[in-house]
Amino acid sequence: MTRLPIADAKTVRTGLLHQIRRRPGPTLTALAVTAAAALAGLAPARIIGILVDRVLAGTTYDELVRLLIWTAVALAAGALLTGLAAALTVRAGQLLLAAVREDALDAALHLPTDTIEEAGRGDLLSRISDDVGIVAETVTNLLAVWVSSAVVILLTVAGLATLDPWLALAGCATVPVYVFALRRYLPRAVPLYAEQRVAFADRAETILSTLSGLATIGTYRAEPRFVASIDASSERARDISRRALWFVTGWVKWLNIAELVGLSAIIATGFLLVDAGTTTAGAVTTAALYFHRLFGPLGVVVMSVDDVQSAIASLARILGLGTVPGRARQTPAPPPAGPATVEISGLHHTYDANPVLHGIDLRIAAGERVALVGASGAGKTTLAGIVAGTLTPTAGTVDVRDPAGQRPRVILVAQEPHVFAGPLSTDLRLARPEATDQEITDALALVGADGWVRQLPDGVDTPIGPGHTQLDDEQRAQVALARAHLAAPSLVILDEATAESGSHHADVLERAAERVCAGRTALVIAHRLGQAARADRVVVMEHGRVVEEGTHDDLLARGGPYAHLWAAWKP
Amino acid sequence: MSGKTSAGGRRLVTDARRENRGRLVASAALFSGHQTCEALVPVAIGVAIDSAVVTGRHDLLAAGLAGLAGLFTALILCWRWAARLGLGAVLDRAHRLRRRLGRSMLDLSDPARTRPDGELHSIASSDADRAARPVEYTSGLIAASAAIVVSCAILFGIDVRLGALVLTVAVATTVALNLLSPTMTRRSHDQQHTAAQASALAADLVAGLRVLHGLSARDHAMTRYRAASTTAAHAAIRAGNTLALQRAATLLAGGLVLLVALLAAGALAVDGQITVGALVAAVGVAQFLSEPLAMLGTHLQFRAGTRASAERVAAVLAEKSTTDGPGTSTAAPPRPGPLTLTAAGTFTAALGEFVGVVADPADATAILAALTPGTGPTPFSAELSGVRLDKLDRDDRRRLVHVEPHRVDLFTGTLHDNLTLGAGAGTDGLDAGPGLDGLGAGPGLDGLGDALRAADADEFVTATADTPLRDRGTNLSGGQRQRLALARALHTAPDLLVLDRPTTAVDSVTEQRIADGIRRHRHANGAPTTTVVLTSSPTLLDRTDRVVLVVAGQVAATGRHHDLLRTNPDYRERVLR
Repeated sequence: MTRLPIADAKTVRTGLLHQIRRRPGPTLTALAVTAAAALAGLAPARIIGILVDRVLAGTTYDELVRLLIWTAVALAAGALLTGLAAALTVRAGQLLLAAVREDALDAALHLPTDTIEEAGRGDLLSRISDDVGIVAETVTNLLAVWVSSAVVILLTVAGLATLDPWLALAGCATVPVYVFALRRYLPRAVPLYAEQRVAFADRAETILSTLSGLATIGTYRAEPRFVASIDASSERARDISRRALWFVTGWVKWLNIAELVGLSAIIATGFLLVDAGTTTAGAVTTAALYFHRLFGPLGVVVMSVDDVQSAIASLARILGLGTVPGRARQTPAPPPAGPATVEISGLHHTYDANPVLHGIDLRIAAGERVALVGASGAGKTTLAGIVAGTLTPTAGTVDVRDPAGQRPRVILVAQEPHVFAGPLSTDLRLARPEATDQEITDALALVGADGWVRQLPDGVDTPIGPGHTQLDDEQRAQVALARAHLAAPSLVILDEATAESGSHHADVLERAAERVCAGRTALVIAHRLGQAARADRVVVMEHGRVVEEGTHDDLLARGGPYAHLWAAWKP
Repeated sequence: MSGKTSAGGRRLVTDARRENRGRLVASAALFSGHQTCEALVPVAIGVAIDSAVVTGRHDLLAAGLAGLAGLFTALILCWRWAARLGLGAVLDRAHRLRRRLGRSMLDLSDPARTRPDGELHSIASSDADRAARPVEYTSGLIAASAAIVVSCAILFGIDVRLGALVLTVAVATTVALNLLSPTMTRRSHDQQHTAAQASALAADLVAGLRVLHGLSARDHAMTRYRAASTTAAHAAIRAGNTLALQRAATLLAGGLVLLVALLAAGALAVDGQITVGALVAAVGVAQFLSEPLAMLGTHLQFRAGTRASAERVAAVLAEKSTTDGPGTSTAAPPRPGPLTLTAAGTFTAALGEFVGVVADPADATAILAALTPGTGPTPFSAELSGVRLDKLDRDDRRRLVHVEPHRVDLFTGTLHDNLTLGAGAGTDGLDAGPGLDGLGAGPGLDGLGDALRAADADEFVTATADTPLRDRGTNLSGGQRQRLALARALHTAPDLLVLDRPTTAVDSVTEQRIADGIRRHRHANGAPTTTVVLTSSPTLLDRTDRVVLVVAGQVAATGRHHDLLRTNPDYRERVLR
């Protein structure tokens, strides 16, 4: 199975820079205000240092008050600028994120369909939802803190240097300890947290699959087995969480040790400098307070390195979508010009080295309704996919033309059709954005869905989907048929659109399908042979080949495979 | 959850504390120790500067640095074990709650459950985690209080007036912030919810990619998504603004406390009433004080969240199945025998008979409800060997009557796991333990061969039985899933098997093979097993011993399929296609 590509570091970098360059304003403003906030934050400690020196030298209340006014101004400015910086950073980050996720979905929607079929929908779905979610969470929760911490650290080191370069150097004694700490952390924490995420996902899957299968579990009295598997998955998740807890709580000492080393180095260096008379006790106090103030930001940066790393990994998966070669083009369908003709010749198709179609030749005349019948696995769905254009055949050609000689709109109504979450009318308007309310009502009436739609709380505007009204299989099939009708295709392909239901509902759906096919060229994959009997022509497939074709009566008279199928159907 | 607490929710909270009393006490003590050490760090800096840097004495420098190292050692050890004991207890508690929830959810097997799966899942994951937190917030509240007491003691030790002033301002600003914060938190939650909707839309669009492709609606879908994405971005930006405002307010409050401390301690230092070291320490403690005060607020919020979650967990744990609790059973389990269904009119499936039931959807639902009591109201009543099914204990009833649901549920695991689902329950008639008989159609299919062949599933289930099913089998076709479910039911070999429209997703040739397969597997050589199949498929009905036509809740006719076809126009209309 081929996999979707993952962007390399360079692509991620250039991708992000490209997005920032498209709208540089927000990012630059956010960085500038963050720096100003960090500068304002340095002032109070500096003023306390000056105060210490003045107290030691003997000072007056007037000077104290003057210093405190400056402190108040700096504190207020620091708080307001920090808030503003946080807001601006989130704004820049969210705008960037929106651009990235929109590009990602755009790339996903335009992936060549073969690529998706081969790579599986799961990978694509997890990139669009999970990975985008991870990046979004990092942008929302971490970006502002991270950026401001990084700026505070840089400026504090610079501030130490203005006090005395030796004090700055002493503070830097902490760097090797942090490097050592990270070296110990990353190789252990990253796989540990990855394992934890897998364990959580596994637990969620176990619980959800149990819940959705309760009826079956009850029937088989298999409760003990599922109780045991929930217990086991919860215990695995607990054990790994405990291991992660033990690891992190054991490791955090390195952050404290780094703080101790830096603090001790500054006090000892200060001692020597004061002793040598090159600096004052106030400057040493300032330096120690500066450094104490760094504990928080340094901890934030070090502790979130793995979150940032995982966000970058997700970003690489998201941006990887844009690197798939061969973007599926969407040519706007020409205006409907009547039923299409279909010319299939020499069609072969192979899935994972298994041949499914062997040399299919088939012609469908304009307005003809052809029923495709045969046992499961005969290759009917594959043929339908190729004619619809969602699959590229291994060899051979399919030519679909409308009377105007153009490639017209072809609609495939699949088994278990997808109905989009949201108002029913929004789903139907995907087929024809400009459809009037009347056209939508008419389409629903055509497929026999007007009754239940009218009973929905808000009619066609009722939201459908998880957490809202859920449709049953028959209703979903009706929505798919109504959508197909609205799309006004020149060729309709129905893949067992009426299979999954008892005979009562099947009648309703069969009639709906026939009305949608009326006046159009149609290829209908039929398990219910009643549909075949009413078609203009029947094509019988077996093991990837067309073994028989003709009208229902001809084929019955011939006594071949179709007659056999029919005998099984109508015993 | 304002103010409304149930006894169940409260008991979960107190149980969590009682269950882990030892760890709670130790964790609270250690956490308090850690907070004390944190409060002492600025004091130690002040002392070191005061005694060594100002005086220039080497021995005092060494002592100061050694003291600092000792303080950090204590701080490290206290935090490590406070977290391990406290959070470890939370992990254990959450796991225990999940085990209980798992049992409770499986107890409620009847589909009449009111809670959607997503809600139950979130109760079993995030709510269970939150409901397990009493140990965490209790020890956090104790430690925060301890830190505040220690800070106050230091400030009062330096100067009583200083202590009183700083403490008053610190408490006042914290209270003000805490009054503000729930409103802000709620606002930011609402806004984050809007943001989450965009990602749901994206996932939905990708899931329906084939449809979009078919409709050439990708550009249209993209326009919709861009609008949602922009809305989400702006909601997130507003949420960010709220958080930023909160951050600025917190910083301002901290600044106010610092300023007051500087003013008071500075005035005292100018007067010469306190030393420079004391000034540094006082300012440091004033700065630190905001931490335990904030912690107090956070843990109080935790407590509120825990209570709400505990309520939800307790509600699920308290739910009892309406029909199947122990004690509802009033009848002893009967021996296998004839099954009788009664409404307006009666029909009986004799032991060993293969019976087809043709019924309109409403009647079919009512008949199934009678066979699985508790799943819905029904005018029918079902008796097995003269004993009403709804008088039986759930376990007895399920052992005697196997009703295979029409909707096929496959599970994570291998194909073999799925096909031997009934094996754990000790099925009668056939010991289904894997590896006991060698009739397999391929490796790993011990004993399943017959059932697979009868369900016409042997062709696609070959050597793959030991490979895990991908995505719970959603990649299999509807027909394949249906045949797997049938094979699973046949393999369980119940005395009485009820099948609900088992062949709707297969082609007519396959259907014929399945009809023969069921007949062969369950009714060869006068086997004493009974099969009832609800269907309108003439192929399937043709293989039955007898067909019952149910119209509008009444048994309208019974007879052989061919006879009914000839004599009963109602029947003909319903089954002919």
